[in-house]
Amino acid sequence: MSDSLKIKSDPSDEIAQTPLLEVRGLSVVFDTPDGPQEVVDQVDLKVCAGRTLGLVGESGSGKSVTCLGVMRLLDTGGRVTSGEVMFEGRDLLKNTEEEMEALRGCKIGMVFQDPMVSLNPVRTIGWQISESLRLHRNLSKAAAKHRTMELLDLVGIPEPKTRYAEYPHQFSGGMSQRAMIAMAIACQPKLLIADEPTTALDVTIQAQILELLSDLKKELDMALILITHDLGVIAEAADDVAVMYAGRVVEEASVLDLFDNPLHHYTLGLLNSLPRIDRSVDRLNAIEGTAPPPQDFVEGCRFESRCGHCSDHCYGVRPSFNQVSATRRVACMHPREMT
Amino acid sequence: MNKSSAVAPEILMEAKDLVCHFSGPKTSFFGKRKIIHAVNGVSLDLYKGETLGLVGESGCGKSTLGQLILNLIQPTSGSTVFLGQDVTKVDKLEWRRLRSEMQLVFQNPLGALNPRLLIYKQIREPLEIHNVGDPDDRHAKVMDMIEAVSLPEHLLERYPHQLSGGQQQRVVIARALINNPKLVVCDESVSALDVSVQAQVVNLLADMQKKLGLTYLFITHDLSIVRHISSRIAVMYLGRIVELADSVELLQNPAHPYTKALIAAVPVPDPRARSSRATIRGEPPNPFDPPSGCAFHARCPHADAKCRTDLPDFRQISDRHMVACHHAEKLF
Repeated sequence: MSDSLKIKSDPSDEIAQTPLLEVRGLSVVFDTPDGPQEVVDQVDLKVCAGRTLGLVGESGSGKSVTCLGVMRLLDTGGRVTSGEVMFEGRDLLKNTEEEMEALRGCKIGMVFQDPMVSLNPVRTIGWQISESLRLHRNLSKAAAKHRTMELLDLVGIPEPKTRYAEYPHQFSGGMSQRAMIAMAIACQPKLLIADEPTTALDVTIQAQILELLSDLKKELDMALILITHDLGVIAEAADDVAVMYAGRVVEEASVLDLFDNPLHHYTLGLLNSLPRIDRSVDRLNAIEGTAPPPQDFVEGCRFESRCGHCSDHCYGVRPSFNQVSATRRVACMHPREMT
Repeated sequence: MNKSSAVAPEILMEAKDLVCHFSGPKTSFFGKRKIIHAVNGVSLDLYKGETLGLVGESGCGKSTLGQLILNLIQPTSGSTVFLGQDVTKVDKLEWRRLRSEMQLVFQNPLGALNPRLLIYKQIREPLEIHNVGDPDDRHAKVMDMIEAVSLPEHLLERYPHQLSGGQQQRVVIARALINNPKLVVCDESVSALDVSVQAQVVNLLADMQKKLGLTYLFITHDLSIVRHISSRIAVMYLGRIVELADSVELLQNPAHPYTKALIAAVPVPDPRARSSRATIRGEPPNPFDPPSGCAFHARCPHADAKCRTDLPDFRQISDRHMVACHHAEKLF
């Protein structure tokens, strides 16, 4: 575990690298009975090979929908209205459905929050993991089974032989999440998208899964997008962070910069409202109010009603990104000072 | 919020050796039902005005214990004494009166609210049920309460689904507190809320405690919140309390290896604090088939032969610090 958790020292050497996945201006609209609602508004993201991008935000901030949009997995009612998603030089949004199918589970793996819902209850764990090997890698049944055993071992499931033939209901929550991860990494993807992979798990199991993800990332040389609402998980596992609020990215920074010196008032508010196990405070500094629902999204700054630093400039006009340094930018009219 | 007064505090509620077993599903047609030992001999005092945090992983029996304390489920054995009265033995009429003194706030507010009742009526309902005051009194009480929990007045004429999660939880809290209860059991009350809203509700609970002199049993899996809100913390593992101490003492000098592991596993929102975290291996044991001896021995780095066979006593190792571990002195 030790090395993988250490923070990569200097982010500057990563900048020159072309990103593995680059999302530019992605917007997602959902058609509702009250008309179309834009839940993701011009989101830009960049993930470099071998790095972990933490995507953090409260519920309804659009972090999951962004990733579903990237994978073209939005169900009926949701559609991508603009933007491009560049992966290995190709725009995923221009791919045919067949091309996407070949990509999903092969070059890009996904892990979702609730393993019990994601697994097929009437198929054995082994069958489900080997499915992608048979589909994408054209392995024979025997070869796929052999490889699946290796994968089960790799993700730390004891007794792979017996576990292979078991069904999801025989697995505990932590073990099912390990199986989900085995499934996602079966074809050695370049990118793994993990959507709240530890939220449904107990803390001790959460620690084990985070450790596993970080080990696997190193071993398989994957990039990882880690979607979470938990800043503790971000601090633990991410290299770069994008903070989302009400459908927009409001701040991007390396993990150290973000926690040392948050520039957006929302980021600071979020950090201040966390109860901490390592220190006592008399009273939590809550952010007043709640995040707006999509029907109340405005063009101007969406945090304005909860922000103590807003002025007339904050209304009406979308705050543009303020590029503070090569790896940092913030979308705020009155960002905090760098200290 | 961490009080450790020298005066012996008044006991509000006393759980004595509570045991609760449930029978599980049949494994075969002629087979016997397996027994699940949800709570397995828990004794606990709740002092007036304190907040006792009850932490543990899912399936450890913490919610069952909360419901036993409120007498919502009957214990297999043991008793709960609330202000000198054994609540497992009181008659129906007396129980009805006592019930308004103990309240429960659940995790999911939308599940706890009646979807077809206006917010105003939901908050007022307990007053109607317990026949408190005349209609004008009741109205005044509702209005006072919604001001106390900072719920905007225009929301009173809405239905639960029209409110945000934080507002819904405020309604649940208002309804729980309107009859001036003495004991409130909060079962994961803030776990489903976003951090910024969670902080608001935690602050609200703390304010109401000061105002009304409430006693909380705060059940959660989140140690960070527990540190913030509780004066004492009890750690539960597989139906038993394994450690009990004042909050700061427990978090700074944990004596039970499980408590240590639990604390180490909490992700700290500080990237510089990343360390090789001593994560414990394995998963909580199956409550249908609890291990012999100390329930934690299979995951414990310090376990020896004694731990595998003998159940450790829950004993005092220092002032106000109880622990159930054979090796507590060595680890303390």
